[in-house]
Amino acid sequence: MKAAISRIEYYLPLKTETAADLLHDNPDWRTEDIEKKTGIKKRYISASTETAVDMAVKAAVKLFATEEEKNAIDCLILVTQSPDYVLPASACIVQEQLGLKKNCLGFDVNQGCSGFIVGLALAASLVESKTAGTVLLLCSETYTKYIDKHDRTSRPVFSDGASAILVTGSTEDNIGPFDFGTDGTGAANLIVKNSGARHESENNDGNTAGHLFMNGSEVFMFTMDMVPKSVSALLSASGKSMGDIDLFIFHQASFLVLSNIQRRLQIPDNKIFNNIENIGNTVSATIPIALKQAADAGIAKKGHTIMLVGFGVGYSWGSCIIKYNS
Amino acid sequence: MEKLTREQVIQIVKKQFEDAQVVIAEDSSMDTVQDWDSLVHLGILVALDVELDGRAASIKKLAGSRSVKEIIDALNENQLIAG
Repeated sequence: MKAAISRIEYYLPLKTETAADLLHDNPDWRTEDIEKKTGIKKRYISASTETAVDMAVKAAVKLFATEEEKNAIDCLILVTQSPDYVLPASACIVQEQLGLKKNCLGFDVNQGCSGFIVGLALAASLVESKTAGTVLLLCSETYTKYIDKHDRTSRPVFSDGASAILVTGSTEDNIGPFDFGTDGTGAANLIVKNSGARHESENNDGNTAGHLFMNGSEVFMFTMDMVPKSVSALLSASGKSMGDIDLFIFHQASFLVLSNIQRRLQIPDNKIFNNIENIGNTVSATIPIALKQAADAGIAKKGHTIMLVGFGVGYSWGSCIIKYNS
Repeated sequence: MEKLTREQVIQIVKKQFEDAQVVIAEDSSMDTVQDWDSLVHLGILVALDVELDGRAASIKKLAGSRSVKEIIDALNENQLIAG
């Protein structure tokens, strides 16, 4: 049995923020400079009562064409780092809210910007091993709830959103191979301290307990170094060259990151799809949202060989090649 | 470029500031140059990588550098400073 992505949908919250909102709270910010570096003009902000579970459910509801399709789901994977609770797994709550059948495997994946690739690998493996027939892969994040309104590194970048895809059986091998990596030396560079069992005293480095902290320079250098290596490793493992890839979709981190990855890999403009300008960085949901938008715009076409690359918090990274047949 | 001179590093840093009158020297740092913030620093990291044909990205010390001297030292440790 092989696996394929059969459909993609996404949900974005109603509220948006622009440079004007940043300036309102932070009159000393040079928002033009910030916008030039991030490439982000609009970000989506979840309502105070709206959680990752709520958004994941909304994305999934958009996905289901029929009741039968929903009833066929026997595995639910929810990628999130902003769960409703430490426990139970948010996937269990989503299962109940969507009314999925009870003989359905459900679990959360705690990964951020590489999370979609991790989830896709798990989903494809479960289908290919016949452990599951239809996997609902959800990515949903509300990072903005972790961000201090005066945090100039994180607030202009992160956005909330959710994606939903169905992974089903296929006669053709449409998903993979994959390349993954983990480097915990970067854990402290993108972190929400005191959000779990370990509690640490405050220091003066701007890393405030309970809020997202991002060391922008360190994370940026990690991406510049590691992403091209992962792309090369995946191409080598798959026996393909850059020319064999019809389209690249990278995690939508920021314009600066995306433009420098493109520069380092020498990817022509017509082979890369970015949507960061009007959506922002929705963490694990960026890649599936971009894939859907690329398909809707006729840029990702049926039969295209597409490379998807996620990277960030952890550090963690993953890349894969898919044959787009959705 | 194979290697950068110390003066070229100073000029690369200087180019990242909108204010053409800003004075940058080897002892300039994020603490002494008012507009040298995290955004400017990212621009410096990119410019170094461009000038060095992609060889700066793997130098982890560059991300944490806070002065021209620390940048030069990090590059020098990787044999990327001429002279």
